[in-house]
Amino acid sequence: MKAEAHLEVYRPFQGQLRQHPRAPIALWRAGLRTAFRRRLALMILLAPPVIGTVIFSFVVYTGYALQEGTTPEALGGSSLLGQMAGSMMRDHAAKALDVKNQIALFHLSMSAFSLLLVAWYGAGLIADDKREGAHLLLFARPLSRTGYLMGRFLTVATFGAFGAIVPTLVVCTIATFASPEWSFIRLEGMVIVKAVLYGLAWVVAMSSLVLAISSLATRKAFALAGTIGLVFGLAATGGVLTGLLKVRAWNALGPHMAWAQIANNVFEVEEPSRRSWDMSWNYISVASLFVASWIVLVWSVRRMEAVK
Amino acid sequence: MTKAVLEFDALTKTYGKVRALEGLTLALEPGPTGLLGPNGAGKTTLLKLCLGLIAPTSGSARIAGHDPATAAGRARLRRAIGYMPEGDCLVPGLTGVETVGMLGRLSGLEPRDAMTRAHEVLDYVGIDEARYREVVGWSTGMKQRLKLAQALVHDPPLLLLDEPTDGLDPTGRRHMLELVHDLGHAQKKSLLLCSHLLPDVEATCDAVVVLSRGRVAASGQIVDLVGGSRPRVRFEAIGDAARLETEFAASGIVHERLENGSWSLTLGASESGAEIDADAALAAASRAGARVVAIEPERATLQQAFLRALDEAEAVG
Repeated sequence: MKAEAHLEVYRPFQGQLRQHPRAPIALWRAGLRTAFRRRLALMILLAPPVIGTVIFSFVVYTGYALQEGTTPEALGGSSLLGQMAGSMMRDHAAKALDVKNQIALFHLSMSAFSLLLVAWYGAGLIADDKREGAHLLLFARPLSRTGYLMGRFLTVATFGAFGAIVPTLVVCTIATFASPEWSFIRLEGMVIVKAVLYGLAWVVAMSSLVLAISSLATRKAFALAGTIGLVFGLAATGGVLTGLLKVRAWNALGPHMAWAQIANNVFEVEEPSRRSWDMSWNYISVASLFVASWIVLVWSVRRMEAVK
Repeated sequence: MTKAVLEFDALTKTYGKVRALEGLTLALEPGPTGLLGPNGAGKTTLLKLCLGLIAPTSGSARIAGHDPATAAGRARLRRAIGYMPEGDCLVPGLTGVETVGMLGRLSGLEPRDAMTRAHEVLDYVGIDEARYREVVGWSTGMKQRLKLAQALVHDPPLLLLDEPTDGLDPTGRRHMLELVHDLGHAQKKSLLLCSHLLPDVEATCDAVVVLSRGRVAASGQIVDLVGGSRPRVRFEAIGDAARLETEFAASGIVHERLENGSWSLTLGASESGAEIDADAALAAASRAGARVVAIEPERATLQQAFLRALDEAEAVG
């Protein structure tokens, strides 16, 4: 039985403190631990990228299977209808074979889900720290502002990678093993590099945006709404300006449109001229948002350390 | 002379036109020290300056031998300081042991050491199985103890405790005061305890600093501050109060009539140089024909010393 005024013995620490603690890693692990504790949300948010990965992997696999000489009859059966279907599939195979196309299409169709994944896990990271006063505990440690930012950034970027990099790598892996005599690696190996670089760029830009909004918000819900609102608001503004000024480049104001155009450019997907505009506007739009995000982040975190 | 653990030299901090600290010059020796002052006296500002969380407008400080004005100094001093902030400061989504472990890692502990230390300090503050639950939903008492645990996880020599008993019930408060007393005395930690509750400071600290309007109104050992003035006794007698007062005055005894009818007498050397003791008071009562009922030492409390220091600061400022 424990005495009412029980005091455990205090044990002094005998070891050494590390001079340069790996603060970002500690924060990143803590962020992931928190996120993985909410399993239902994680399953719901990861479901679209997982389903997308399965579908696009299957398409790529089917494309290579057709290239390897699978006949329309084998694909569609011996009936007239089956032969027609098989014939259509083979006609379509040329396009389906193009892994670049699939990856660009994946980004186009999945970017909203990936953004939701990043926003859900990133929106609360800084806002909740401020709301709960955790920044007082964190900055009372030998933790630099850069270390704090990196820790939080790594957390949100990890979820961004689940949505934008891992699926494309899976598709590329399927393509590698499904292609005859490793032709995908030999002939289109650069696609993997491009997929990773494009995914990284998207993750870095979107994670920065979400964190910047989180640093301005007082709670996660506001940051989440702010992120979605900003992305769709910019897209709507771009659309309206395009309509009013008859200049298509205004569409680049919307991050979704800008990234879609960049994906088409990077993966060399042909775009109808009526839906495209000068690429430089897309890069300017994305870069501006990125720079603005980091200006906000640095300013906000500076204010967090210099507690009022 | 013992090396000061906290040194401030002409430290000034202003927020716009408001002067939170004004030319604060102070050296605190190791050991438990209370930081007192009315609201807006600059206590929290001083704590944040100690941590390097805010920069002074002018002046300098050395905290545990480190300069908070430089990034390297801040990193070193934060390794030497355990800070327990006021209010609910919690890392969202983590359990108690994860919170303390993570903050230990941020302080420079190796991952394995951080987890071991987290359990040790949680044992010390008396948080049992609850440490494996998320902190959200914990009682105020448990949150306060968790904040103390995270301040101790890297075993710093200096602790800054901001209102550690804030919001605690009597049992929790007693437990917290026992912990703070143990840390300050048995564990020989230097600690700066910021509190509005003067009995808490009196129960746990040896020295005290009283701030008023950003300046030091009084500082020193509590024993000296409380008993610094001449000894006083409470004197109770039945008889003619007017005659008694006349006799006291004739004997050179500084006296004060209390609300309950008794007297507060100041003993020791009088202004004329004569030594006044209890016998002199008894003789005066005898001459006045009064019957003495009680005579007992009147111990000044820290509250009296605190209020006196504030009054003096008010009069000067």
